[in-house]
Amino acid sequence: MLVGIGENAGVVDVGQGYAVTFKVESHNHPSYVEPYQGAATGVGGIVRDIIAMGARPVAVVDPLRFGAADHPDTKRVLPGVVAGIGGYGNCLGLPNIGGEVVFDACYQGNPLVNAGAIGVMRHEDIHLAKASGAGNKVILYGARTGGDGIGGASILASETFDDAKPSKRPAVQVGDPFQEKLLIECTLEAFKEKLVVGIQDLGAAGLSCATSELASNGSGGMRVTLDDVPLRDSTLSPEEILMSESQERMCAVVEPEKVDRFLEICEKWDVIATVIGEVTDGDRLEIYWHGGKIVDVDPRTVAHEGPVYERPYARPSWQDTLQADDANKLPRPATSEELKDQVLKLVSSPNQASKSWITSQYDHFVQGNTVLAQPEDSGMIRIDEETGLGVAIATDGNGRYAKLDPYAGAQLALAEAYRNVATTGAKPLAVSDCLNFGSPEDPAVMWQFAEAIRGLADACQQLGTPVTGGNVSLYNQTGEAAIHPTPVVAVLGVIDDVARRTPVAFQEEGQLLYLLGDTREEFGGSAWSQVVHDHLGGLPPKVDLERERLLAEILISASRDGMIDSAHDLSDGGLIQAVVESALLGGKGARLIVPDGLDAFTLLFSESAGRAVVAVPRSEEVRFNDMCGARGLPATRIGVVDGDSVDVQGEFTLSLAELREAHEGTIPALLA
Amino acid sequence: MTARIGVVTFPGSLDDRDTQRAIRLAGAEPVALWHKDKDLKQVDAVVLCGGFSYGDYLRAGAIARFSPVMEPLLEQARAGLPVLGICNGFQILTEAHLLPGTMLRNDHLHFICRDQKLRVENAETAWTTDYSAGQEIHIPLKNNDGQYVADERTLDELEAEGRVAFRYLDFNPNGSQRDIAGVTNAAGNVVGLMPHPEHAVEPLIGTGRTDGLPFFTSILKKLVNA
Repeated sequence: MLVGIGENAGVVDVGQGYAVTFKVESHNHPSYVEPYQGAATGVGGIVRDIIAMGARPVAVVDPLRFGAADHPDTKRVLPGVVAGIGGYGNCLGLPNIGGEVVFDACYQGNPLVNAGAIGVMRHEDIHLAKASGAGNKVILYGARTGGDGIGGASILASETFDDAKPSKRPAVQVGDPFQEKLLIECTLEAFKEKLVVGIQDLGAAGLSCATSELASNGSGGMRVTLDDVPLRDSTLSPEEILMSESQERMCAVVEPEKVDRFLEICEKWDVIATVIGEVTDGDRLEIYWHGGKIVDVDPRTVAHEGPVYERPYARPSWQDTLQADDANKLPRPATSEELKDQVLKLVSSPNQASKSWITSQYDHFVQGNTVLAQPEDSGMIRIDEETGLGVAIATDGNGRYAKLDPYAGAQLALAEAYRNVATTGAKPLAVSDCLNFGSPEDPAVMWQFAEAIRGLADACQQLGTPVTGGNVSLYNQTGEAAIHPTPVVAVLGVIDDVARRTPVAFQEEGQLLYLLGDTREEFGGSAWSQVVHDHLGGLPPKVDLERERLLAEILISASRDGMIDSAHDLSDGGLIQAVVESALLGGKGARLIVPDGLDAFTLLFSESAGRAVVAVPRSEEVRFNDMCGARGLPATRIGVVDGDSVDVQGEFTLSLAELREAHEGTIPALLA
Repeated sequence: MTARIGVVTFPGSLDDRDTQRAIRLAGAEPVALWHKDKDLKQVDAVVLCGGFSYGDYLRAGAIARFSPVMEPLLEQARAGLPVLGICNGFQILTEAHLLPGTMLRNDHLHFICRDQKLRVENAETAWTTDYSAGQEIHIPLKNNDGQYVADERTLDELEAEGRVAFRYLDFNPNGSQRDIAGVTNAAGNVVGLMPHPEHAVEPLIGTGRTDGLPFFTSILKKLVNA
C-alpha cells in the first residue's frame, strides 16, 4: 500500500512501476430525491477523487440496491439511476465493468447507489491533497460556482426521509459530464508537466471543505479571496459561495512561476481557472470578502478535529428470535417436478435474473482495455499493453446475511469479493468499502455497524488485504424501519497477464465440471429461502477465511497454468444459479450428477461459502486433481459441459431456451 | 513506407487513443490532430472518432462540425482524402454534410452497448476492401443517438448506388431506417458508421473478436499501394 486512509483515495502498488487507486462511495440520498442527477454526480464525485490522486481513471463500477422490483417507486428510481450513471460515465469515457443490482423491500425509500472508480498511474505521479510552500498560489478551476447543492451533504446525507417534509430536489447538484471530461484531461496534462504541488476536488461542503483540507494537510496557512471565485449567479452570498456543491470543480496549489503554464493548459481545454488565494506562512485559514476578513480559523480544527460521538449500542432483542427462525427447517421440494419449478423460479427472480437490460446502458468497451465486464465475476482492465499486466475489481454485499449476523455478514461480503477476484485469475490485493446502515441514533443499528466493522477488520487482517479507504452512509431509514445492514466490499486484484484470465462462460463441450469446496445444508439468508418462502431467518453460511484463501490460490494457479477454461464463484442462488449463468453465457449446456453424500436439493441451492465451480479440459484433469489433492482442497466431479440443456441426472432437464427466457425476460418485463 | 493516419481530438472525444492504437496495430502511423489545428499535418487519411464532442450539447456533432480543423478536412475530403467517421465521428460527418442523413435518439430512448452483428454491404470503399461483400461481422456498438434517418428519396438513392456500407443484422439496435449502420459517399473515400471497429482489434479485449481490424488494414493497403 502506497497511500492509505485520509487522502482522496488509497493507492496500491501493482508492480512494474504502476500504482492503482480505487474507492467506493455512496450517493444514496440524492439518488432517491432526484435519481438521474443523484446517481450521475455520484459518478462525478468518485472520479474526481481518483484524478486528485494523480491517476487516470480507467473504469467505474456501480453496486446498486433498490426496493422490491415490482414496487411502483422502483420504476421511478431505478431507470433514473441507471440512466444517470450511464449518462455521466459514458460521456466521461469510462468503461463500466462491474457492480451489482439487488432488490429488497428493505431498500424501499432508501435505495443504495454506491459508485466505485479505479485509476492507474506511475508511482512517481502520486499526488496528495496538501498546500505547502508559502507564496504558492491556490487555483480554483472547472465549472463556475452556482447556487446548486448548497448544504447538499448535510441536508441529504444526515437525515431520514418522510412524506411530511418538502421535496429536497434543489439540494441535489446537477452534473455536467462534458465539463468533467475536460477537467480530467486538463488535470492530467498539468500533472504530466509537474505543475501541481497539491490538489483537492470540491465535493461535500464545497470550497470551505476543500480549502480547509488542503491547508490542514500542508505546513502553512492559506489566504483566499472569495471575490475572485467565478460565479454563475452574482447574487450569491459569501456563505453560499463557500458551501455551494456545484460539480466539476477542483482546487490546485501551484508554484508562482508555474501558474502561467497551468492557466494555459486550462485555456487549451476551455476550462475556467482563477487564482483565488495563496499559501501563507501562518497557521490560519483566512477568507476575505469585499475587503473584510470573514473567516479566520485554524484549518486543523475544521478538517481533522471533528466531534467524536460515543453512541450507545446494543444487540437488539429480536436478534435471537431471528436467528432461531431456522431456514434449514423450511419445507423443501418433495418431487423432481417441484425441484425443477423452484430452479426456474430462482433463476427468473429479480435478484437472480440477468441484469443485461441495465448493464447494456453502460459503455463497457471505451478505452479499449476491457478484458472482463459484468456479468463476469469481476471486472478486469489491462493496464499495460506490452506485458498484459491487469487489475480486477469485484464489489459484493449481502444485506440479508448481514441482518442475520452483521459480523459474519461483513466477512461474507469480503469473502465473496475476494473469491470473485480470484475466480477470474487475479490475486486479491486490497479492500475498499462502502458501509450502508440505518440511523446510528438507534442502538440496534449502531450495534450492527460496530459488529460489521469488527468483522471486516478481523477478516482483512486474516486475509492480509489492507483497507485503503472507504465511505460510510448512515440514516438509510424511513421512520423506524432501517435498511438491512449493508456493508458493500470492493476487492482489487492484480493479474500478471490478462491473457490468462478465466471467464464465467462454458467454453467447450466435454470439459469436466468440478465443484470446489464443501457443500453443507446452509439456507439461512439464501436466495432460495427468499424466492420460494419469502423468508429471512437462521444463520448465514459459515465463514472460513483460510478456506477462502486456499480456494483463491488454487483458482489463481489453475488459471495461470491453463488447467481451467471457465470458473464461476458460488454465492447467492448456489450451484444451480452459477451453472445456469455459465451455460447461458457460453451457449453450452451441462449434465450434472449428484455426488455421494449430497441430495439434489442441497447440491443445487445451498449457499455454503468458499466454493466455486470450474470447467477442466480432460487433458488437464489429472494435473488439476493432483493439485487440489496435494493442497487439501475438496474437488468433486459433478458433471460435464454438454448439449443444449441443463440436466440434473434423475431429476429434471431444462433446455437452454427455456432457461434463457426465464433468466433474461424478468427485468425488461418489470422495467422496460 | 507506411501511411500516416490522423485522429482528431475534439473536447469530449473519447475513443481517440483507442483509434490510435487500432491504427498502430494495423501497421500504420497514428498522428494526433487537435480540433483547433488549422491544417491536417499532411496526413494520408483521417479518422473522426467516437465520444461526446462538446458534450453532444445542442445535437450530437453539431458544434464539433464548426471546429477549425473541419475546414481543411472538408476541403480535402471533397478532393478525395479518405475519412472515416465512427459513431460521434459519423454524426459530425452528417452535420458537415459530407454524408447524407442524420442521427436521432435511439428509438427505445436508452443508451445501448452491445456486440452487434453487421453485414458489409460495400467492400469497395477506401475503408472496406479487406472485407468481402456480404461478409457478416460483429462490431461493438455503443450510443445514445444512433437512429439513422433520411428522406425516402435519399434512402432509395443510397441503396441504388450501393452507398449503404453496413447494415444491422438480426437486431436493429436503435430504429435506424432500413437497418442502416453505415454509409459511404459516392466516391467511396468518406465512410461513416455507428458501431466501433476500433474496439474490435485485439483478441481478449472487449468482445474478444478482431472483426474491426480490416477497416484499418484496408486503408493502409490502399495508401501504401497508391
